[in-house]
Amino acid sequence: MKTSEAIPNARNRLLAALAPADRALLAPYLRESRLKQGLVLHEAGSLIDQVYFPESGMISLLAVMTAGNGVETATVGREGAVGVMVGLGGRIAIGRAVVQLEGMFAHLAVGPFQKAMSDSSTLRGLLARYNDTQTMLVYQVAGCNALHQVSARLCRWLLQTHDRGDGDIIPLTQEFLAEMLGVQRTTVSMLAKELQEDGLIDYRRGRIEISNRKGLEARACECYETARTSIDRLFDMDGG
Amino acid sequence: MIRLASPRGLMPRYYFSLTNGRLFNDVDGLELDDIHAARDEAIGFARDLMRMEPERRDWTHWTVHVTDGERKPVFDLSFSEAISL
Repeated sequence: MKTSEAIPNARNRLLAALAPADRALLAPYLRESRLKQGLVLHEAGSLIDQVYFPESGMISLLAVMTAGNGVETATVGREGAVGVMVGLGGRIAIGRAVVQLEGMFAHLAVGPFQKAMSDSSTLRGLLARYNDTQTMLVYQVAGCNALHQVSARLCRWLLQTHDRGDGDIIPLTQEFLAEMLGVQRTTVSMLAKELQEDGLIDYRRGRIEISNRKGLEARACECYETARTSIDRLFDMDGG
Repeated sequence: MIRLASPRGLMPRYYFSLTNGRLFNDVDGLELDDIHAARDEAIGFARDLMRMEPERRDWTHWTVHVTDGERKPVFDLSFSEAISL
């Protein structure tokens, strides 16, 4: 992991939406690192020591069962952050956070983040609203996991990943997708082949290319649009 | 015959095709530790399909046909067996 000071013109929408005074509180402590796919940022029950603001790439939050298997509960890209609840007092991670798409991430240690939150009511306000949005999206995904077809969930997942990546190629393995969707790898392979036969994606081992985004949107469950609207609403309120 | 993991330590590849028609012929396969992992995968695959699309077809007469890297049969697992396990 290469680390450098975070650039002043934040590519993360949450950092970009901060009032200048709030950015000044965080800026001295923000660092920027390239994080690789598969890196676990924290496990459920562990102490959170860093708050992450994706600038590119994506983080998945997973609910993990005692047997070790898990399912995606949220994804966070450049519109959000992971670990902000530490600013509201909590320090224990409620799920596993893993880098799903390699990219650049601004991050800072918990101590200065908590101090900044304590010093600024506007920072607390923005991040509390973000936390509300994230909680709503977790509810949405919980409903999605229980009620929507796996094929529609796969389409939602591909679209969300496409939004956060660079270009049409999504460098994901079957294993990652299977874990995100809570199904077997063979099931992912079968569903991906169906999407390929319908001309929506090009699928080879470990590599998915989006061929027809509109078609994927038509196949995805409502949760994709709900999430996008909720996030846009958050930033409309804050002018971000 | 039960095929175990490669003695050279390489992960063997298994293919999981569906029989009772040609709905899905697995062309990619998976590298798995051994036949026990292949059996777990087959059970999970059958259960996924029955859970995902119960209204689309009656799966009870379908079978997961598992072959090895040389496409030789390893075992068959009926969907009804996957329910009962």
